[in-house]
Amino acid sequence: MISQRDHVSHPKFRYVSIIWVLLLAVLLTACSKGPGTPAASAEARKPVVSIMAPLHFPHPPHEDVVQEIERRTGVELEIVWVPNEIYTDKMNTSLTTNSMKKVTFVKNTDYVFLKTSIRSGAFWEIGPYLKDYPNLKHLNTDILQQAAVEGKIYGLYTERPSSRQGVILRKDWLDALQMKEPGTIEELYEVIRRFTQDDPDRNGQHDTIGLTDRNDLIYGAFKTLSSYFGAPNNWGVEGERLIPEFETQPYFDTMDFMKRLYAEGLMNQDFAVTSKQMQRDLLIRGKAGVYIGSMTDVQRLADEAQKINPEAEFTVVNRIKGPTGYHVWSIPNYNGLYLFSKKAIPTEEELRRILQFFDSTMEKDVANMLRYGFEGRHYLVKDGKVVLPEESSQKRVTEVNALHALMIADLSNPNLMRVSEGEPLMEFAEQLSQDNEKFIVKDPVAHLESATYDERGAALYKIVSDATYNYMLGHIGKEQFREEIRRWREEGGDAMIQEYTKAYFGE
Amino acid sequence: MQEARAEVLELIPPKPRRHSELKKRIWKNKLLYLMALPGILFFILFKYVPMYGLVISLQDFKPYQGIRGSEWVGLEHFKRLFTEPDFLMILTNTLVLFGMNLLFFFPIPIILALMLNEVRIAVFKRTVQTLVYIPHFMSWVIIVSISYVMLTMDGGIINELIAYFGGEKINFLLSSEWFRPMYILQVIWREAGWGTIIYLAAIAAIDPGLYEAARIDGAGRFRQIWHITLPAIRSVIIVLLILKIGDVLELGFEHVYLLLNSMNRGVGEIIDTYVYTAGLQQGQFSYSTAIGFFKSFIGLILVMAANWLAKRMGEDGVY
Repeated sequence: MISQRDHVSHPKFRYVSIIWVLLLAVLLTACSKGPGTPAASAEARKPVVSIMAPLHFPHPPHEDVVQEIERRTGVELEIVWVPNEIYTDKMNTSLTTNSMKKVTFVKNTDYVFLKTSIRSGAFWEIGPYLKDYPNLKHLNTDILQQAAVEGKIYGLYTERPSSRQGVILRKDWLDALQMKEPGTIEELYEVIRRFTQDDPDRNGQHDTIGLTDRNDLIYGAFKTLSSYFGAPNNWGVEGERLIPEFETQPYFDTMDFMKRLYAEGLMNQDFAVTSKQMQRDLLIRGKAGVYIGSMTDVQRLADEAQKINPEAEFTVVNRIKGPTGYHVWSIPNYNGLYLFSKKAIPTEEELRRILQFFDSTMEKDVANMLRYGFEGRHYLVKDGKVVLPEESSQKRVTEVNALHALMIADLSNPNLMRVSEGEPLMEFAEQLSQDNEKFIVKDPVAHLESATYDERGAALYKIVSDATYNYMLGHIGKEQFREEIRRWREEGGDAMIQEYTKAYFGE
Repeated sequence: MQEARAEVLELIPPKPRRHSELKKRIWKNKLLYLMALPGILFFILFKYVPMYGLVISLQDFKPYQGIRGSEWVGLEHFKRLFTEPDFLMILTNTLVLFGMNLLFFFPIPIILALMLNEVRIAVFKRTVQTLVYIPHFMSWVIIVSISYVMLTMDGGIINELIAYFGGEKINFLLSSEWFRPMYILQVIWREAGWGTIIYLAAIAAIDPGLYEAARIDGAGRFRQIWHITLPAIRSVIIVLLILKIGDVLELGFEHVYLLLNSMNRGVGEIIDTYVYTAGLQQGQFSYSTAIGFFKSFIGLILVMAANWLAKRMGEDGVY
């Protein structure tokens, strides 16, 4: 270490290092200009579209694909890819420091916190412009309305199905116990019980549990189970009033069901603090046999489980009958919205240019490229359908898939080519998601507003979720649970009920 | 002799009577002031200027409209904080964790430093020293995850051991009784070694002659610690204690946040985590700032009290 420093400070070496630095600087500037120079004169007037978007994969998309998209849409893209895990924080920072990109993606879950900014005029209202674009004018008005603020449209949505919720099970365990797939809540309980007690992996040891769950009342097992019992989705409509789901009988039934699973040791005992990783891990390692959540997770779960135990087989069930038939809760049909900053986009003209860009991303050539990449390099075409070869799967993940985040309204985009043969479990799960559409339970207040919710929704929800966990773990009884709900009402719940009731029936 | 005294007198600055004299004195010590300049600038730029942001605690701050455009609401947010039903619970939790920190954690680095100081084999001492520093460089996420794996009911080593010896498994992670011990043990595990550094440095500066004299007088090891080492590092201990009290409410947001769950929130929610969940996550910047302001205010009072107490006890204090 010391001798090295001596070298550097030796006069001769010092000159050498200075020269190196200079050389490097020259090289770098040359590099950054290099490829651009010949085209620069012609493309100098290309409009720049800067976008902040979440990155769901380890790598941002490959430059070739991005450049091709820039060429076809006639804009220069400046995409800031922010890892999905820290996206919310980054977005908040750019909002508070007033340094938004021209276009910013906002997750559906963070949207409510932006509404004050939207009302104070930070973003363009794009509703009136949409009719001027061939693709944007076909956007689903229902979804646009779901995401509207005071009836005005501010964002372009990325689409998702209403409900992917269902039950993932170990098929080989069912076979070993000679059971069939559950179709009712009682059968589901029976499967979970026997998966725990009857040694489904036939290793002679009592080392398995039925259900694996995590510390999430919504995307974990709880909310889906509550749908099966017939609970409303967040809010129920009773006569002239809205009532919160946790004041309904089905919600209590669900808590009792979970309480029973917990008390009888049929599920992981730490579920109240288990992370998603740990939850998946229990299923993958063959410790647990039932996973309730997003059905499309099944493919990755199965792939990973088969690496450990090639015998492991999985299946998916979406129809679990409760006391009042089939139900499953749904979410708004948008993952998130692309919003357009007024500060970064000073003129209407520029806004139109950017909307033009999003319009062309729905065209056949660009949309398919965003979805699948280059033909030949990432996919093949057979009988007008897309074939995704196994060999290029890695390439798709590292080079293309990140771009999916940029696709607006992709599910209903007719320009998008269909895949001929996908992964079997994944396809099955997608089919069942389609089937879910037949009996979804919508959130009646999804597009309504409540000032109290905006201000203290998170703190209030904590009261309920804490009480729910404490009840399921047997720390508190029914009376204390009701006491907590009274506290919820006093601290703002009552105001929320009133505001939502007014908004719901006022329409 | 005369000259020497004159020199010493010159070093003691006379009280400036007029402006010009002050200027002269600054000019005379210009190099010292120059040396202090970067530090002063740092404090102005990064500590004092940002305080301007505190005004948003008196506003209904909207990022898009900025500080100038936002509406003034006076003490509204403070009122909300003090009337919040959970306010007392949060304040108590914060102070209890702070008290435990002071009571259980603070003495440990001192004891550890004294023990290390008594080790005779240099190689062993250095190895131990290095080893106890290591946890400090691990992030809380890792430490909390490790504890999770060790304490879980589904095959965690500690519960397996308890079960093996015929005990009843304890749900450490989901109980409110175990939250505080878990918190404090993790703090000790991570920070105790690192905390010894300053004490060891202070101990190294003690004149070995003192120990020699004590040994000649027949003092054993414990006597030496009691009468020489401890008094010698006493002022260091006091200064660190005051600084520690200044950090009262810095209980480590990350750490507590990671440990929190529905079952232990009653004892685990502290001001920092509350600011995050009730304020920042909801985009309520003004309210968060008001809470932060209140927290700093408590910190200030405690530091002043501790400093005053130290001075009463004849120590130097920090200012």
